[in-house]
Amino acid sequence: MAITTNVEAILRVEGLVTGFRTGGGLVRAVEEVSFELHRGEILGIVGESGSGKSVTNLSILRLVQCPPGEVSAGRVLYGGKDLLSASEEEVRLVRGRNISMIFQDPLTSLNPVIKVGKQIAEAIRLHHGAKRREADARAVDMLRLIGIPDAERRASDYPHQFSGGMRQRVMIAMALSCDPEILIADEPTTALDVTIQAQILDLIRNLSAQSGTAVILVTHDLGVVAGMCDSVCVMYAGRIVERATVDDLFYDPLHPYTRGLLDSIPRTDSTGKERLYSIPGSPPNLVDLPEACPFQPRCPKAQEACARERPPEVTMAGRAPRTVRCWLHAGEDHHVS
Amino acid sequence: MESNVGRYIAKRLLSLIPVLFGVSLIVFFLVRLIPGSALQMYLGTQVEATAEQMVELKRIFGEDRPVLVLYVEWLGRLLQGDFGISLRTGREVLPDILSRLPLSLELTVMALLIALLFGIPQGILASLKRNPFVDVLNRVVGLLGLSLPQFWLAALMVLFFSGFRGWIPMGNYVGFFQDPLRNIQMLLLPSLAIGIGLAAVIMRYTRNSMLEVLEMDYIRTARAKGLRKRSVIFGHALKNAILPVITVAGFNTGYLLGGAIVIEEVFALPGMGRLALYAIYQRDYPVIQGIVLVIAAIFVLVNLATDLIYAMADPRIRLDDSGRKS
Repeated sequence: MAITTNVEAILRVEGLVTGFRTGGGLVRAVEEVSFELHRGEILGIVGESGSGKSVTNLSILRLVQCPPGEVSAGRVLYGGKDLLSASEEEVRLVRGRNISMIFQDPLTSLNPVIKVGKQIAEAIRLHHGAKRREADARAVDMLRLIGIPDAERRASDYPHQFSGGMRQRVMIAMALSCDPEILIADEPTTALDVTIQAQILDLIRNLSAQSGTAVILVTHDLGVVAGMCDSVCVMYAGRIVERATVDDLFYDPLHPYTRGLLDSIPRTDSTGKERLYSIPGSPPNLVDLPEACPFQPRCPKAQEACARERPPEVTMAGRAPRTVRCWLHAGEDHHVS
Repeated sequence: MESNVGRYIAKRLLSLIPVLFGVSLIVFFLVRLIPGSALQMYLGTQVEATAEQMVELKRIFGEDRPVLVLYVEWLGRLLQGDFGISLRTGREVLPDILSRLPLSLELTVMALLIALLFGIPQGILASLKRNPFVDVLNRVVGLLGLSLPQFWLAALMVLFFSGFRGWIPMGNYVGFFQDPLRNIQMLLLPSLAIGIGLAAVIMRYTRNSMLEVLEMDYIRTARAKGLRKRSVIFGHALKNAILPVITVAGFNTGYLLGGAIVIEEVFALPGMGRLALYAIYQRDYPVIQGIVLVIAAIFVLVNLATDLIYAMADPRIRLDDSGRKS
């Protein structure tokens, strides 16, 4: 499902800034993040741990713990409303019904003392005003849909009675039970066995294709991105450093960080003797970031300007939305935002 | 599943036997270590008994036989359900204890209810309003509740409320089934004195447990579902946060019973505590022994009930028939 510019964006994030107040100072976890999501699109957000992927998504639904977290700037436009300035009640009605989320660790993300059927039915009753019986029946249908054998009986089991993969299926059933327009999947397979990972990703892709649900897939696995996504945002130190379609990103990475990530993937045609490439150094401390490109100390192509000033986000001309934050491409600037 | 629970309960009830045996040993010899024998207490200062009378008295009070023999005799009768006869009143011990037991149990249950009804909501509130002032206030009240001795609190209550007629259970005690309202009114202050310490403990546990649970991933999931704050707190958080509170409350219920025994004296309530106290004054060994055994049995039963309630509240706990929680 390639993106075409004529499909309307159903979610637009503009200049999102989220920070955390800690003893050591203000941690700028997300800094001026902008992207949009189109109907039926699968958008990947990649980056290392601590790059702001999860916080970005929690900020969209205002699920960041506050305090210490605080969304201090930006807009999240959904259905003609800015979710960041909407009332708590308005956002609550969007959660689970229009935009739902699944999380990394399905064991800790399911309530251990509530039967899974009830945990699924709860959202259905809440958002569709269904009676207990109808909601329970629909919960069983959802379990069946996502491939839980003997769904009727399993609905009255507790999370600890399921395997890891089955638990994540339960989470997906719960997230999709109200036919949301957008599913945010925050590293849905990180805690699972490799063999189960593929099953879960297939399930998400198929369900998304069937129902036209758009997906934001947070991951640190570029292989997953290549196999699943239509477009990608690459995050580094709280910023989106490059945004492109999957094809553009893999065949023509613009940002040196993206290139570094791609070079770090083990190749199947390697002799097995050469060392695996890794980007030198480690990500910066997000408290007190200097007025420089945060990637500059690790960048093989760093120039003088990189240490002096942060690069602006530059929109590249041509097909589909493509942006990059790098002085290398600032000259090719076609539209500075 | 059903039969498992049945077997678990049976095993736990069987464990009562060694516990009660141990308690019987300890209490039997311990009471005889109290200076002054039952006979001395009975005779007091006026020793006008004849030699024959003394022999007879020594036989009745068991001073003509070795202690070990007395113990075996007592244990033998105990196994037949005979708790013996009071050295002072000559009445059977068990019916006397059982007639006093309901009042002490009622006090304990009321104190527990007060502790739960105050402690849990206050703990939840404290966990939600992390405002420094409220937090300090809660901590101070909690600490006070913990550190005030029950008997002192009870004495203050007697002083303070003696002007309110009927609040202090003076003289004629009314049983629950005679006049429930009057009965509860009479027991309110005593149970408050007993329960307030536990209320403070439960408040602290509820608060800390809630704070911990509110950070959990599944709370985030519940919020991401669009649930109302109320449903998140009561439907999702409390169900988990209550688990350690069950253990603490259950564990402390036995001590509440101990508290009831002291407080009965302050409020002059005819419960098991007063019976025990007078039995100790008079070295009425069979009565003391009987009461201690009954309390020990209640302790074990309360612990069993706690474990069963815990297993009901937490589906991850399975009661296996080795008699342990796993």
